[in-house]
Amino acid sequence: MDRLTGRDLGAFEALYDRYADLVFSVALRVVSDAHVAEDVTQDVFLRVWRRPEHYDVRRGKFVTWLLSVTRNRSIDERRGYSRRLRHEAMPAGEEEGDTLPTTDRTDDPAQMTVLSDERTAVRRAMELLPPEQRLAIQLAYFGGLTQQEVANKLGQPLGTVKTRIRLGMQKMRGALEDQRRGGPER
Amino acid sequence: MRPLDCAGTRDDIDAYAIGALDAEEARALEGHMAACATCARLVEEARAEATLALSLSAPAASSSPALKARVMASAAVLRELPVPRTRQARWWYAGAAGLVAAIASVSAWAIFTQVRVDRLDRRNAALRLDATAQSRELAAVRGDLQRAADLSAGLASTVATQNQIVDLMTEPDVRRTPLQGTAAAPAANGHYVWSPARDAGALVAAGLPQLATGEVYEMWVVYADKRWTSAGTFSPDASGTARLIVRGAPNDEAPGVLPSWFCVTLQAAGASGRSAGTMVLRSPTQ
Repeated sequence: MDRLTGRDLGAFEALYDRYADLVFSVALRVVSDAHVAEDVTQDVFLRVWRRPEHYDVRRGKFVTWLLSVTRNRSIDERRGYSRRLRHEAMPAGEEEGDTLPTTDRTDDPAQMTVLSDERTAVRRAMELLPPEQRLAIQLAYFGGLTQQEVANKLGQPLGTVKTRIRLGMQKMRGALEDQRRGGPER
Repeated sequence: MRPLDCAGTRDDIDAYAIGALDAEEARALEGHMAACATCARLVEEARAEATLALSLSAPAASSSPALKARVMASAAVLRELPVPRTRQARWWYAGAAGLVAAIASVSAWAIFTQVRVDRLDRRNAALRLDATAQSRELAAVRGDLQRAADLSAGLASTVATQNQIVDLMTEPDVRRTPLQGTAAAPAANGHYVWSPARDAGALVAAGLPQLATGEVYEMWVVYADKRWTSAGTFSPDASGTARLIVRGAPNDEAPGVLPSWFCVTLQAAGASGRSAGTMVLRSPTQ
């Protein structure tokens, strides 16, 4: 980050190479449109380039901050007027990823980031969740919905949605901790 | 909403971590975090872990080489600008930089004019020349000085407005809503930039028809329940351009309730606050 603050274009390119696909993947998951996801990705990286001081190292890892900015920017884009109706017809979380224009990069290990192992672990953990818990979490995180909005969308009581999110997140954390310790998957 | 205690906070941690609390719930939790370091640490840890894990759960996709070329080219251009701003803010910044240069010029003119005033004052006292002619010249130069001061103040105000807009555009939750001219003002266009977190917004419009005496433009925020809330009145400059900073903007009057659309109407000055004027700008229909 110091090199970015010093306007080092080489450092910025290295940072882009390291995180661009991750940022693009999150944006695409939220907005479901490759062109819009590219716009979001560009905005996020140029924001980092122009205002690197917005990242406060005391608040945690850079990648976490970058992903948080990406998610917020993507949600804003998702709520855009021109795309609102289309997305309300097919909200995030209901696609379950299988309709997204994605490209798994397992055929190109040389370009995999250091986060690839964690990605695999997270996917395993997500697969362990009951579908209703996974859906509630995805609608909130990728769809930008509040618990009440999730409840309205699913036609479920608010308390049920709160429980699904809380239990789902606890279960996912537990599964990730098990995998980090090399223990059995639940 | 009653203040949260530690137990209530911990019930809501996961929902907060994935952004699923509504605005009021989030404020209550953040209020407790400000007073409880233990809960604050737990919340930050949960948020970091949830952000990383859920982001990594998104199907992996590859960005295109063309995107990289575009980003790197933009970064190279932006590096040459002296003050960091976001891409969206670049033209604002360029405009603000031009105005700062203009202020510097006007200020230099003001100083020069003041020197002339002082010199003329001394001449007037020492030489006792033609008092009437000298007074006229002195009055003219004082008029120059006043006009310089007025122009400088006007430009400073415009720069301040530009800076407020630029600051708004760098907010993480900034939203930009385009506005299009209606049949009553087909050449008009603009944007409303707003941040629910800052409780603020900024209207920037161009191509507005000039106002007749006794008329103003009024901006409106409209909610899904058809409720219209005035965001203020304004007049365009001679070129039809206008900027309106909206403080305490009705962006988020109730938790989770955001505006549906925005518009600008032409109002009789005494009729502002009532949504009865001719619509000249509006955001796209939902």
